[in-house]
Amino acid sequence: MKKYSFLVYHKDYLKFLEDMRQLGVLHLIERQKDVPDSVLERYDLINKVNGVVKFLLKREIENPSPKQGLDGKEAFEGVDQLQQELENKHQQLSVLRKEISYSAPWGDFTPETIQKLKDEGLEVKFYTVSARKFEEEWLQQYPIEVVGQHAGLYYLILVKREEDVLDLELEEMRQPERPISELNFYKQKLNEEIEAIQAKFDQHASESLEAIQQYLLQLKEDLHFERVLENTVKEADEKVMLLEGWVPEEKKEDLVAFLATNDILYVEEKATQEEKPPVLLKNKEFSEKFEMLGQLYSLPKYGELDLTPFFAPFYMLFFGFCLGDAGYGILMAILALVFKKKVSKPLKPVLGLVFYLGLSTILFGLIGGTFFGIPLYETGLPVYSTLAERFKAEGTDINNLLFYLALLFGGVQIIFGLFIKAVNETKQFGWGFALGTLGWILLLVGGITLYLISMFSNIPLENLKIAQYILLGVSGLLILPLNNLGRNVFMNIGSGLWNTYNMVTGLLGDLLSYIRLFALGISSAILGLVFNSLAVQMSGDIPVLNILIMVVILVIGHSINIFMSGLGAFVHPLRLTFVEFYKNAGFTGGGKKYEPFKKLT
Amino acid sequence: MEPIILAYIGVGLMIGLAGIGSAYGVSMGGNAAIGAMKKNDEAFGNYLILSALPGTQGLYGFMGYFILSGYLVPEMSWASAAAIFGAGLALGFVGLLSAIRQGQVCANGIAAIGSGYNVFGNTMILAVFPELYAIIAFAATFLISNAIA
Repeated sequence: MKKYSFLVYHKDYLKFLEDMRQLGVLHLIERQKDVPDSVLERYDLINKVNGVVKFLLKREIENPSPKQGLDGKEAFEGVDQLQQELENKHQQLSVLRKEISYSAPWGDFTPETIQKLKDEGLEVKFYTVSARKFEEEWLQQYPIEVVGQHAGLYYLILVKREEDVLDLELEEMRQPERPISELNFYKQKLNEEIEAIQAKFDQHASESLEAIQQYLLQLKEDLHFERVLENTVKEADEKVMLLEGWVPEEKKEDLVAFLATNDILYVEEKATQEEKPPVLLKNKEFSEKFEMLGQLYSLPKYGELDLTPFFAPFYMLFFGFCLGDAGYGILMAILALVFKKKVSKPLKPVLGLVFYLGLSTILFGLIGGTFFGIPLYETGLPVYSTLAERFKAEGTDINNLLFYLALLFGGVQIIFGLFIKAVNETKQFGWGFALGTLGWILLLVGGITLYLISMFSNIPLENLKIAQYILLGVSGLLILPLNNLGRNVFMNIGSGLWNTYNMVTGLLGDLLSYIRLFALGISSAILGLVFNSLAVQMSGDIPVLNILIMVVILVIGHSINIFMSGLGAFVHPLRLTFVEFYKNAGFTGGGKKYEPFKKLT
Repeated sequence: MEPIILAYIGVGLMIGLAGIGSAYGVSMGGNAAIGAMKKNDEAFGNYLILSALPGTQGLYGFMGYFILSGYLVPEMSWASAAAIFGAGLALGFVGLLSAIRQGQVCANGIAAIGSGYNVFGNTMILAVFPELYAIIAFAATFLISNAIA
């Protein structure tokens, strides 16, 4: 990254910003800590428009036919208006429903009739009584009529002269405001209006969605523009504008050409770590697919080594180790290839990743001998039967070997991580700061080498004592007094001892942590095997039906296994990467993503 | 008492406790997910994955039984019965408690995602910390089954 400071005359400033946006390479340096209200309002609007876009996308219109020349803002306001109307209609509907449930048992009547009776000096009373208390003789004794029954209640109407007093002990109800027929009419009308609004939504989703999406991008653009303005420093009585930002090394050519042709004063400086410049990863092809995994944790700090290409092959192998079923691997690889043509651009790398993970799963499925839960070493297939016999003669089996393979992978990745740490320290501070790490590498690699020499050449370790002492001496020097040439020796010994304690306890724990690869691998294999034997045992013996039952159990069982084991195979290697590997590689992280000021529409 | 009785008590603890642990763990995740849906219903995929994480302990318990089932015969020795009982104790209790604790980590993560924090990746990584010990217990069960053979 390079830091650029531009000085622009105030009258040319807006044009300069437009041009900068067109170039789209500058990552703004923010100075303002508090956000002005105008920006907050923009954020609110963007959220609202975003909500409308998502709402329309959810309607999943089959073949949208975007209308050309629509104004996105108007379209958005139209949808927003409709949403409020819909809300309103739903509220009315719920009030109406309450009223309907109150009025329905009273049946239909016309308010005019009640009014006419009133004019004649007769009043109409509405009563309810529970079915248990109702007595038939009331109908003879009083001017009363049963007009409805509902939920164990009798609904009664009594017509009497105003001056008459009746000794009826009944709960009086208020008169329904509107008869049921009228209410139902309104309800139908409301439902029709709601349907009409829904149809309009569909029309919007088909015709104006694109325009609204453009409007959203426009708003985001404007917001960024305003942020750039907010972060501009006004110098010399507001006559000169000062703007600062970051530009990646490889994108500066266009910028420098533009600055030269437009005669703009600028200063270019080298970025320093203290200023925390943004980070732009530069992975290609294979390792680029793994960037999304790395970002689940953190981007590297500026100036730090990007570990994506270094963990990518390990992650791929670990995933395969954990899922370890050649059948599942083939399924993953095929699905990834099939869907790669059909998905939108942002999803393509995901499927690329799935394809690689599928390949690795095939590889480890073949090594571990599992194909859709079928244990290949027990099938008597040509290669596998020979191998199985050899393992038996050696007094071991494939699972034992996988156990050691998992630990071996762990050892390799940990030592590899230490190498990276040394490179990283050299890159960031100079080689004098990497001596401690180099000491540890020397001790571990040298120790392992000596052990292997004694194992394969039958020289007992006792005879290699001199080599051992030399190794311990040199690495001890590097680890304790010389681990950092920038400090005094006693400081170094203190920090070296502390590091030694951490390494000794840490290395063992880290190494054992890799056992999970083996355990997850056999657990997915066993679970597949369990479902296979369930399918065979539970399918019964009715012809045709037993095949059906078997297929159903197999499909459901293997789906469960692919989901659960796949989840484990995805997460656990991530943990090994971010915890064990990143720790040993001395990864700090915490970088900001490079997000240039550019045109979106 | 016959040795097989002790062995089956071990198997019962193994499947039972690990299964109970997973049931608790995934319910915690599920409850948190329903709460989080009220605030943010777009991240259901994340909630689902995090809720499913504590589901593995129950599977380990069941698979532990599957590995050992071949040795559960009436004429088994006290040594194998004791080995199976020990494996059952280890896998059962570690599965039970690690799944419940893992469920709590996942539930907190789900609640945070519901409140608009982007912590899906971080939660996933932290949530597999407690699971490691159930995996170790399962690996130990596997090694015990090799030792019996």
